[in-house]
Amino acid sequence: METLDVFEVLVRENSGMLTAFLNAALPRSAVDDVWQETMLTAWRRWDDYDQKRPFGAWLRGIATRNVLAWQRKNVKAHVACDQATLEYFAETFARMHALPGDTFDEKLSALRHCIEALPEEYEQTIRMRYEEELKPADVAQRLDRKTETIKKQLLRAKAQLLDCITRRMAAAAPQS
Amino acid sequence: MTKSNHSFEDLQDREDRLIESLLQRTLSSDDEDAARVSRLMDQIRNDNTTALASDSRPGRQRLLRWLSLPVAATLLVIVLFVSSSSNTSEAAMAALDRSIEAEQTPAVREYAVTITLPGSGGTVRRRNHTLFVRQDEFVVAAAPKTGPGRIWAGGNSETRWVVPRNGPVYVGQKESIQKKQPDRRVLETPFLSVEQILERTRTFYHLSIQTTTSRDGRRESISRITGHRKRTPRIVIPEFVEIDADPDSGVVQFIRLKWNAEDDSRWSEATATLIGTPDVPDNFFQHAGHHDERRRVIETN
Repeated sequence: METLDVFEVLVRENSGMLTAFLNAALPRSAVDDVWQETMLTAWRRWDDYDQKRPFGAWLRGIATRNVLAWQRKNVKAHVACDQATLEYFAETFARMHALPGDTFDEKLSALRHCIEALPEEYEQTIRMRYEEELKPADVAQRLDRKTETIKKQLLRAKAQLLDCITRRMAAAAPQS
Repeated sequence: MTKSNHSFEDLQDREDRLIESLLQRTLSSDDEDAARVSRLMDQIRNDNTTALASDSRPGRQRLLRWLSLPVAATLLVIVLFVSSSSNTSEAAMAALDRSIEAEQTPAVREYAVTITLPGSGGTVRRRNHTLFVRQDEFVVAAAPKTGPGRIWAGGNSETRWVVPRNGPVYVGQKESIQKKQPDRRVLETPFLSVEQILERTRTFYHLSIQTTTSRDGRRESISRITGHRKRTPRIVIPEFVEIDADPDSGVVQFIRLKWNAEDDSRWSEATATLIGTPDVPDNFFQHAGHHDERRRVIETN
């Protein structure tokens, strides 16, 4: 039973990371099924797992193949990812491993710091959009602005956040 | 356009999708994860894949094919060597089991906790707080960064609450409160569940045990269990664990966790020392036990 116990701990520690990875790659309606299939494949292929390597990286490899398989079956799906885009997501998540924190959610503290460092109106817009899950039009109505203005603010804020988290990942990466 | 030659819009789109997924994870409360994990583990157990894992997987079959007589003889020598040290490992397991049982009783235990965090330029910082545990419930009392008073936080395996020195009280699921509560630092401690530490030590460490005197010299006999992290799996857990327990009751008297600096953990060392078993009010493990009833309570779910 020890193998299953170890597997369960690894699953719990990597479930948030896998959810975020799949959310980037797939429509929300598909995330649950592909998440389950990825974890089941990992369990069935446990003997193939090189335990010197991070479990999360191995999981993303399986997830990448499952995302591509899902897309082949759902060719009409609006969200589509090619191999290079999936590799970009996988590389970024791998670099996040260097950020401080034991779990993926703890590593996301870096992004929380980036959000707090945004100009006040950008931070407010980002929080309303993602914390309160309001649509841009609803954010605009609440702030008495035009929807286009809010959309532009969101674009600029996200660009700044990506830049900020990329710099933090680079600073945290081990020196080679 | 080839697969490796993306347009600017493609690059912008994938960056947008990446940051969107990270923002969703960071700011919105996703309660689905715990349910997904439960469904997965139920399915694995129901499918009886445990048997699959131990008997019929390709790696094991390959191993059996190569297990010729000379290899078997060598393994026998190794097994005989290892068995001489397995008694102490089994005794350590038994002591841990006793301690886990002791954690499952409804007694309240108070521990003084010190956490050492690595600072820049080889410096270290220390944080102290008091931890109260009762089965899977806990309460942490810590001094705020500045000023007098205490911040109280608590919860169980699923929920959390925080009573800051001023302002509203926050109550909610573990994930949601850790994202939204300004004083969440109080909850960032490796010691919220003594039982979980014992369970992890049992699973992930090479164990040994000795009988010795207690650190303060007051007790002549104490069981000291030491655990060195197994080489696998590669997850960030302390490299070294030391647990002092009462040899009869199993009650944990002292825990020391030490992390490997190369693991990039936020902590380098943490200790918890048993202070006693205090009598506490009935509502001590609820937020209401630590604030005025007129205080505003915010549900973060």
